[in-house]
Amino acid sequence: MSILRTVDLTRSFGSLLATDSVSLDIQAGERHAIIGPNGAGKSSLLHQLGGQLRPSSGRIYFKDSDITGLGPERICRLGISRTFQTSNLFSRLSVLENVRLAVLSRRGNPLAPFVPLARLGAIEARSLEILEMVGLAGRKADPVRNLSYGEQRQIEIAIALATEPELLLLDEPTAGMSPAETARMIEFVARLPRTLTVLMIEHDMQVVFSLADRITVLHYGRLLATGTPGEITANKDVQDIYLGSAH
Amino acid sequence: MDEKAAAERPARAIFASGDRFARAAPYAGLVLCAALALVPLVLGDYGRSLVAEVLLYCIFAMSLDLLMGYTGLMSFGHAAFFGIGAYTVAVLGVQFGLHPLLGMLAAVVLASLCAAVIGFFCIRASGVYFIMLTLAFAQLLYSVVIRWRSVTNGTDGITSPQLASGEATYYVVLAFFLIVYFGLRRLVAAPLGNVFIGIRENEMRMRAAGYATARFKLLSFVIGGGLGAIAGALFALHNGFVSPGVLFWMLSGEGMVMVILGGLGTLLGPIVGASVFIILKHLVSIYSSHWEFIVGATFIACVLFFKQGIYGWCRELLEQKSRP
Ligand SMILES: Nc1ncnc2c1ncn2[C@@H]1O[C@H](COP(=O)(O)OP(=O)(O)OP(=O)(O)O)[C@@H](O)[C@H]1O
Ligand SMILES: [Mg+2]
Repeated sequence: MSILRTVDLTRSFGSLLATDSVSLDIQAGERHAIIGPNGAGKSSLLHQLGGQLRPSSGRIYFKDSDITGLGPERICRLGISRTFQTSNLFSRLSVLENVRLAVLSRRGNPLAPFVPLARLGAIEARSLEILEMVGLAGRKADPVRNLSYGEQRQIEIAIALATEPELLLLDEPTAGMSPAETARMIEFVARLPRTLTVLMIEHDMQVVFSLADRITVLHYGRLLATGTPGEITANKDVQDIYLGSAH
Repeated sequence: MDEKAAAERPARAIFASGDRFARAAPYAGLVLCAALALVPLVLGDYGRSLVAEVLLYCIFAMSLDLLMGYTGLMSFGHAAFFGIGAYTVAVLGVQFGLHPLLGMLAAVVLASLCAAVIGFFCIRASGVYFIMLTLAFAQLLYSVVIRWRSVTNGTDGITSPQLASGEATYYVVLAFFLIVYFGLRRLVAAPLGNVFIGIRENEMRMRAAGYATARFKLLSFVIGGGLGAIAGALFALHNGFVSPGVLFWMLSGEGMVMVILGGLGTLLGPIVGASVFIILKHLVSIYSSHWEFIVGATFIACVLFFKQGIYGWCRELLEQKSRP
């Protein structure tokens, strides 16, 4: 069953086509990696799926309903959440406060004007549970800006998971991480339940090949190939244009 | 600091306070409340009236800080709501003989409605455009009040109904000061306040986490406007006279100075800022007609030397002291 579909998705910046009639079909539960050289339009594609960027033309369907052009908040509420390529957090707030805001969005009543948030036990407990999952519960009181870059990437994922999505979009989750942190991230994503679909942009081929069921290659905004890791490595175009230059 | 102690401390990174400071605060607050309650018995008419004025501007500054300091909305038109509050009480009193406390209720309702309309247009803009739009709306109201002579008496101003005595007015002002302070304290700790803070910190992230931030910003604007009108209504009660100056951009600017002077994004900050501002204004204007210059210089010094405002600076000092 397909969970996300794009049909001829196109986005232009002036004369530049950042996304050039891309048609994707992501299956429910799969781990799908998007790869491509710098400037290939990977982040632009993700911004359109997450509602941060309006497509110029084409359509996006999530579970068969048309979500083209909806704002990020609507898309999140429908069950798609995302991380950003460079950490995009509440950097002056504490680790717990960061995750708690996302939990509140899903499970609480953000309009409640008088009960202290810290006293809403269910929200607190859920936030700690998520921090436990990403292994940062011990640092709950620290301001996020005091965390290492790798830890901030984990908070990104914690916030994205806290809104309980069906589809998780990750923009280079291991960028800037040490090899040890990268290994932990691979393990973390591998352990996510299969009820969750993961679409990730990734540069690190080791990460791609240890996680992805299928891979899509973008080049100059165009979809060059989609297939299993085996198919992608065997693909002549991909070898010429992408893997050839990477190895 | 050892890890265990760090883990047990409540997780409020920005507003985390030194333990000693947090423990002393409720007692200091009680002493202050008692002192405020005794003001009419201890101080003369002038002193009491000055404290009442300080308190009502504290309400004004706190309501503006909900926008500026908590939600990150740099409104340069907050005088609009102060003015609506003051004129509603005065006009309803003069035209219909309405009791000023009922006038106040009407003022809050009217100001909230106006804030909803003004906010609807301003929220769409951000940065300097937001600042300019809020200013433009406030100036629009200012010119309406000047032109609509039959009701507002134009630049001559109108008298406002007052309570039976200065003491009564003082206690009404004090009561509203306490209600607004404690109400806002609950609000900023509650889910809604945390959403405002999230928007201030990173609106894009809030949207990606499912928050319709435009609606929350509008809500903050409406609450701030309604509370600002309480300050204006109390001003009418206290002053007995209302002129278009209550809607002029100067007052909006003074409100911003109070908030920044005291410390953005805290509740005690605007209280400190408004108190210093009003007292300075009174003291300096006795000796010199150039009080704006002196206040301006103080403000610049403050922005240059203590970026977090007077309150933020004091707090930092105390926290450094309480650290081993
Ligand atoms: N807001 C924008 N305005 C103009 N051009 C843009 C904008 N955003 C992206 N682009 C351009 O679109 C193209 C695709 O950018 P995008 O960020 O999607 O690439 P990417 O594949 O994510 O690259 P990277 O691997 O470096 O993250 C680039 O040429 C970029 O310069
Ligand atoms: Mg990118």
